[in-house]
Amino acid sequence: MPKHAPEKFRSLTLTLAAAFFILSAVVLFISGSVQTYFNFQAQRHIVSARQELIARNAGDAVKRFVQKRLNTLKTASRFSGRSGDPARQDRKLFLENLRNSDPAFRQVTMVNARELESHTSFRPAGGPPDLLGRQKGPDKREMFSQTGRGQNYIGPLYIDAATHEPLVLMAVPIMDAMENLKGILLAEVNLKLMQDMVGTLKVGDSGRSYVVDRRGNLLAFGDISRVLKQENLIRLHEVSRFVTGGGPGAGPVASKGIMDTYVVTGHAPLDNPDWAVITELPAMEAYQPLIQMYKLSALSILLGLILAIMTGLYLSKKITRPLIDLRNAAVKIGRGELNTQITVAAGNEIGDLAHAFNQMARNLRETTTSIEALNKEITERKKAEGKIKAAYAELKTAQDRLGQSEKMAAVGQLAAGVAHEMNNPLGIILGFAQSLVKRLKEGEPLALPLKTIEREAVRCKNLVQNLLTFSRTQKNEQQELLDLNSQVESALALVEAQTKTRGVELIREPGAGLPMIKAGKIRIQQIIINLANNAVDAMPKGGTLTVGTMLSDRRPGYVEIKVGDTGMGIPKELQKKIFEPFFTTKEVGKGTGLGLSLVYEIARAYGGDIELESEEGKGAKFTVFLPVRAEAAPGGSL
Amino acid sequence: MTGVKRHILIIDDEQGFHDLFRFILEPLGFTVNSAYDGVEGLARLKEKGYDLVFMDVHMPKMTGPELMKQLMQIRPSQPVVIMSSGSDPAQTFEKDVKELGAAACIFKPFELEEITKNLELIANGGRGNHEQNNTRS
Repeated sequence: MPKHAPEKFRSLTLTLAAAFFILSAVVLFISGSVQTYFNFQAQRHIVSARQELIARNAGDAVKRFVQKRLNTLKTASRFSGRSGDPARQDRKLFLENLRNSDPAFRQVTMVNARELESHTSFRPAGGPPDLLGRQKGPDKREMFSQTGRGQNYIGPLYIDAATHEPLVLMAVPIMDAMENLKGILLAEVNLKLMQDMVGTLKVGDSGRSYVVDRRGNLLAFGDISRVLKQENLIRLHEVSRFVTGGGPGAGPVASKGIMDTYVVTGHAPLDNPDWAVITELPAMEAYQPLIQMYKLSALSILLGLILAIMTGLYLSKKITRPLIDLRNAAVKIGRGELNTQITVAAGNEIGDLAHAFNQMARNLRETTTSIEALNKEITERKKAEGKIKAAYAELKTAQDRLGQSEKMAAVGQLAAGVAHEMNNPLGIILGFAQSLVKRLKEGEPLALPLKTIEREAVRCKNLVQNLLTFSRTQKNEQQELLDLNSQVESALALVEAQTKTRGVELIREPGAGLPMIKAGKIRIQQIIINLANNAVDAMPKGGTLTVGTMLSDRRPGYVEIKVGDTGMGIPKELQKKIFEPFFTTKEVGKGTGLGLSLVYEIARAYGGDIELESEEGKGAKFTVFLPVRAEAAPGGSL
Repeated sequence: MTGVKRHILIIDDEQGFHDLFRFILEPLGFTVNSAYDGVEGLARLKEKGYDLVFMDVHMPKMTGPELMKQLMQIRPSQPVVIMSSGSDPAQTFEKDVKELGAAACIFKPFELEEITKNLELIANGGRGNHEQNNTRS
């Protein structure tokens, strides 16, 4: 992986695949959720409706059961009402027939409207206790009230303590032809039959149904024992809904049922009797299709996600493949493989990019080639420039030297030409001046001018001498093996007179064990004399002149002559010029400007060199390097 | 100095030198004779010898060294001081003329002392090893 920006490298392929996956997952999840929600809602309504339907069917059965008994009683009451007042015996027979007409009738009783206590009952022998006697006060009043208004009455459930049978009282009014209340026909109905019917009622695979009255009391249920306990089920949601008069419709998703399990319920009110059949289906069963659907849905989502991952990977690979090719190509180009080209057949943006990239690579190659060529050219030019510079510097040095040499040659020619012509008149002037001065007596007025003439003539003589000396340095001359120290000593003997009168202390520092040098005696002495004179001139107020020799440390194979003074020093800007002929800092007429240049010329002529160390106000030190041309001689002294 | 007149010959093409030598030497009791070129100088020297000869180097007709060569053949003991108008730091010139037989070599512009010092050559009898100089005069 090429390292570039500090951030972590994240594969575009994986990123794209992840994005695709996340997008698919979100879409699937949302669509699944929505579908599930609506499915659930629909299913819930279906389930509820189904429960209601089952409840209604069951209710119809219960209703038929009740209606059948009521109808029997009504028919009997109508017959009884029209037949006037039969004898007590007849009535008994009538009741017995009635009782036997239906196995649900345990006993029947007829009550006279005017004399309520006067009633006739039929009960099997050893049968249940008296019908009316078992009714509670309020129920009895309700019964009389209802039947008195010409309505049928169905009483609450009661249990026969002996037979453990669930019983209800049904009462119908007995009317005469004039529709006047003659009495009431009562029947104790055994709900065992209804109980059996309800118990066998099929509700789904494992659902149940039961019957409650308006007070929530359980009337019929598969498990008879619970009926016999006279349970009140108002705590159950569906029962309380019926009791409080809530109509049928979708209730909660699930609620606690009669068996204390979660169930989906439905109920059907019967109106007459004021009962309701309630059906329960375990939530698991009720929602089984939904759960099934959920499972399928989850499976399809899972499949969808797997497909999304695969498609995402495939697509992102397909998208990034050319990009990776591009990257690899770019890396190659980065390494300098400029011939790299990418083959992307895709006729899309990436294809365009590849073409653009190839174009760029080609341009880069061309540019690089031209840059390389340019670089080469530049390098060559630089090389050439360096050569030219070196050559120029060489030429300049040569020219400078030539200039110097030309100057020297010109000076030499001039000097040689002038010297002869000058020496004669000078000799005459000097001679006359000196002989006149000699003849003068002290205090004569001509003494000063004559002495001046003499002195200035001597100066002229020295100048010409220097010029002549100078002109001859370039000519071959006799060289011999010299002991440097003794030459220095000879020269210093000439300088010493001057140092004494000028208040300059002369210090000799001869080096020991110096090798012999090969040079002209006079030249070596000229070097020392000129440097020493120069030094003395630099110390008009006196000072120290140090003249020494040594075997050079800095330049092996050379000896050094050092002449130092404690004078005014030489400014930096003048240090280069002081070796030029005719350069002088002395007042006009005081120096020829040839002394130091002569030293320089002599040193160069012997293959040596001269160095100057000086700081303004701190004196100057000249070092002359001369090559050794012979074996070391025994150390001498100055 | 003795009462005997000493004769000195100046051979130089410059009148100034003749005047100078007269100015210097005549008060000292010398007779100063003049010759203005090499040929004239040789003619004079052929006539007679002098106590001392001051001879220029560069002269018309005959140079000093040429004159010296001829002079030494006729008067090998003639003391001669060569006066060069050049300079000779390497002292080769001086050496050369001394080999030609010159007693001394001075360089113009010379100082008075150099002249008077060379006058001692007469007292010493010219070049120290020339006996004839004493006998003649």
